[in-house]
Amino acid sequence: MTDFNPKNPSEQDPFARGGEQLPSSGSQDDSADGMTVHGLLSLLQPGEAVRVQERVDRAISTIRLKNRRFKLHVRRRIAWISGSVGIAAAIVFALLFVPSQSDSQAFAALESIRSSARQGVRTYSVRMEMEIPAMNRLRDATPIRLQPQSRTGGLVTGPGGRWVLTIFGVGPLRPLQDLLDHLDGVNRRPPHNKGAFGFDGTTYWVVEPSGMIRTATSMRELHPPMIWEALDTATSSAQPDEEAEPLTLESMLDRLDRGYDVSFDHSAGTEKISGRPLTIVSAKRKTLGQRPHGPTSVQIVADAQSFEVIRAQWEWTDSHVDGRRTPEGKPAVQGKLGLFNKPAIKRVFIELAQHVDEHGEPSPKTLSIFEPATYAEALLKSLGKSPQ
Amino acid sequence: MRAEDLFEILIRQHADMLNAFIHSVAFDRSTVDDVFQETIITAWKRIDEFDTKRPFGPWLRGIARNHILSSARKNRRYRAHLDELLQQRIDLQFGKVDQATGETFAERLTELRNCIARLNKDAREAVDLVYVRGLDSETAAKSLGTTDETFRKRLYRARLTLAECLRSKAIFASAVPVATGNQQ
Repeated sequence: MTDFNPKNPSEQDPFARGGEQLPSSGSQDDSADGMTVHGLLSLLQPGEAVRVQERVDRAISTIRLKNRRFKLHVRRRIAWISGSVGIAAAIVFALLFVPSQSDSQAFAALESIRSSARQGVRTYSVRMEMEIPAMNRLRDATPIRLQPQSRTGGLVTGPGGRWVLTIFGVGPLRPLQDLLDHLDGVNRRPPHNKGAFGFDGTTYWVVEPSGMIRTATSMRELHPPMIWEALDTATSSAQPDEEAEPLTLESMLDRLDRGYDVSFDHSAGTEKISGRPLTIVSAKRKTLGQRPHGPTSVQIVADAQSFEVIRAQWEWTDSHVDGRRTPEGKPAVQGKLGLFNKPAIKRVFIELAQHVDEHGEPSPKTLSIFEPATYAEALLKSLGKSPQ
Repeated sequence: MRAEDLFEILIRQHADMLNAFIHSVAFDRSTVDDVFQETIITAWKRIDEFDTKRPFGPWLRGIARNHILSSARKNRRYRAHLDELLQQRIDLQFGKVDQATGETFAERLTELRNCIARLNKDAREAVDLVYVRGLDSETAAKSLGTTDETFRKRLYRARLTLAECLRSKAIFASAVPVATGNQQ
């Protein structure tokens, strides 16, 4: 069905009920009932179920974004008030927890890995696994257990901190959505949905599953509605007012600077990949404080000479305490990253004539970004040829 | 579970109903988009006013109705065919559908599907072409070798027949509790 023409709806809108087009006979009640039937029938239109979900997603994203901004404002105010106390506490903290010599070397290795990650173009496959806690069915309160969810995608890192993350097979990655789908017995997601977001060196952007492109000057303002939700849910039990970090290599490496015990991992022994010796760095989140944040553990496997990241894995295990699920039943999220087929994609740039900014306004600014569709196709082929 | 999550559950449970309600009176799809978005955001802002002892659907439709009327005031043609009494009647019928058997809104429309199956061939064909296959009326008319006007009349009569069928099955209200002074 073609889209309606808002300027002349009576011509193209198959449901137009303007008085000049339709018979005016019958009572007002007949008209009202006929209009009600029309509304009900509209649910049968092809693609309408998807459009309904997109409308809900847009509205909920807007609400969440506004709430986050408000909370961020409150947090900043609180942080300012408690600043002096915080500085004193930080000094005590630093005195008590100076890293050991071994940790220092691991941190140095981490810095080398970080430096290497900022050079050249590298392509990674991404896989996310999510465990959805058992919940009760709405209609009769019987418990249901949903299958673990997984999402795959690709990550490209480039010079100047550029990166693109594309996720395949996603609608909104939310246990809630999956639950509702399960309860209703329907899959509201379009079958081959994909989303992409990234950073082109100056601007963050996201291509939402609906195809709309939004840009922002900070990642947090952009708030991509896809992977975020899963991570946010995974960490919300610990820090309900904290925003989740993007699932990218750069952000993961950056966040290990504080709040983590970083050390070398010798468990792999003399393992090599393609004849190259490896350096393995492990990071475990410190358990200090009442509000842990970020992945529980991270393991980075890098080339021992070039410090190029070969693979990485990070896990959120807050949902499990001593092997048992927490009462809140938050889902566990695990991310895996594997280097593959490095020269598969070297440059995929296009010029976009127009963007839609975060407020939904068209912007005349022209930016160079990775073209998601082309990128996605190329990446899919690469994934098929070179499993990690 | 956070308030946002609970709110999202409520909205997703009522999304089909809200969508159908707005479609009943909206002039075009962009109006549906706008009113849908504004309704949910307003509902969130005013969630503290919601009486949890009452059903969520009518409260949500009340907010949607205000936004629809607000939109109608800006559009002369829209205003001409949409008044308060008409909306009350539509709201009444959606309230009746809410009470039909079925956990989800889609399940409550089973009788509508049965009614469609009982339409005569011409009417069923018209409904199928527009609402199931998604054709615009002009294309549908051409495919049937008839004029656009004839096709629209056929579709209009099909909707009235469906409404009568739903009234006979008590999915729609037959009596008119609103004092329109315009009853037959």
